[in-house]
Amino acid sequence: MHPNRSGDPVARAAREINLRETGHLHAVGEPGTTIIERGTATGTFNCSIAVHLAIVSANKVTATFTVRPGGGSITGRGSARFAQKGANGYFGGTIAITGGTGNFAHASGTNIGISGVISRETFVLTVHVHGQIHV
Amino acid sequence: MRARVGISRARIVLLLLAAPALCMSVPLGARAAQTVSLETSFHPNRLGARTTIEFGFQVHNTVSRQAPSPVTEVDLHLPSGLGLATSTLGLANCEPLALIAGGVSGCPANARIGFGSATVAVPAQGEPIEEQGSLTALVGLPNSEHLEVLFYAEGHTPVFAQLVFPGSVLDDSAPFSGRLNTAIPLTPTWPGGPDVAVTRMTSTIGPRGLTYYRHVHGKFVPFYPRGIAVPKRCPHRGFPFRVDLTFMDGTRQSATSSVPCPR
Repeated sequence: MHPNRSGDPVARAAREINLRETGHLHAVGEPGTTIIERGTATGTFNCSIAVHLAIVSANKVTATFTVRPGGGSITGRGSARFAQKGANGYFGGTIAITGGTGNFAHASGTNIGISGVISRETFVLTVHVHGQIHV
Repeated sequence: MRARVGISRARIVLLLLAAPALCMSVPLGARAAQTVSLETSFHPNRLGARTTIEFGFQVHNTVSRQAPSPVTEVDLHLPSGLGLATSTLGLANCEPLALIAGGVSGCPANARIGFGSATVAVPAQGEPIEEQGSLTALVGLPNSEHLEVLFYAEGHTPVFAQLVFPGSVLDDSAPFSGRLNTAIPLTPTWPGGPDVAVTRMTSTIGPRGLTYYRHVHGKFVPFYPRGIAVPKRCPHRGFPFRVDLTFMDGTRQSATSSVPCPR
């Protein structure tokens, strides 16, 4: 609900979005047990994307992503299994929407898939986020 | 699925000339009691730095003039926060069969992640005979569930053998981030003879002493892999490690060690 010009509350219909994003990111700063990645995403929204990968163990990471489409942002968080094969690391799991801003202030969603591959040498990251969200 | 344990049977050569000293059987049913100690260190030991982990455990036999019971499983618990996944250790994978057939040179150099030594006690009349061999740690075949590590041990005298111990980096609970679980195969000294017993094992996990190679414009260019990230904060009593050993006699022993917080 948001007020109109006269201040009366106006209902805003919630809508469901099939979120499908592919991001190409690079590391920011010196990766340690947390890797901060920034880049651009294409798909449902063409916008900037940031991903934080926290290395929990050799086999598990927690992932936080934020996309910034026009009019706001959407943030999600979850965990993923991690496996290395040669020079690449592969991760896959699910996240839940934890919040949003602006037009996406009421964003929600669970069981959103996140997967990707990261170069262990350069930390160049490709990530896929896909699932149903409510905004 | 774990890599198969391999013993290159064609390469086990028995020094029969030394057999009179080795053939005396160890009394069956003798149960050696053993304790274990653990040492660990970081090289360098600096918060936030990239490092090589060095660990070593030793089995102490409480019964004199008798080899300890053979170790059958080693569980090394690693401290929380170590950035193993953000290192560039193990940029290639080692196929266990290639390791058994060709030794360390049968696998890519970029699969090596550490090296050390292993000491085994060979049962004999009187004091057990000790044999020391080299140890190389390599990343095994890719696994979607966990990281596979292969330990390749090679000894020469008095028993010539080349052994592969399969290990896996598994999940763990606080204060540990993971555990390196390694199966140690029982190794008979000779057909029907007693098994050798690992009494000491040391290894590094990290870039210290390692050289990797990348292909650049048709040439192999050497470089050093990136080490394991040390957390920027040190726990109150240092970075804790623990080793759990399982012995053939059914007993289990544990030992702890902490890498002190750098000053």
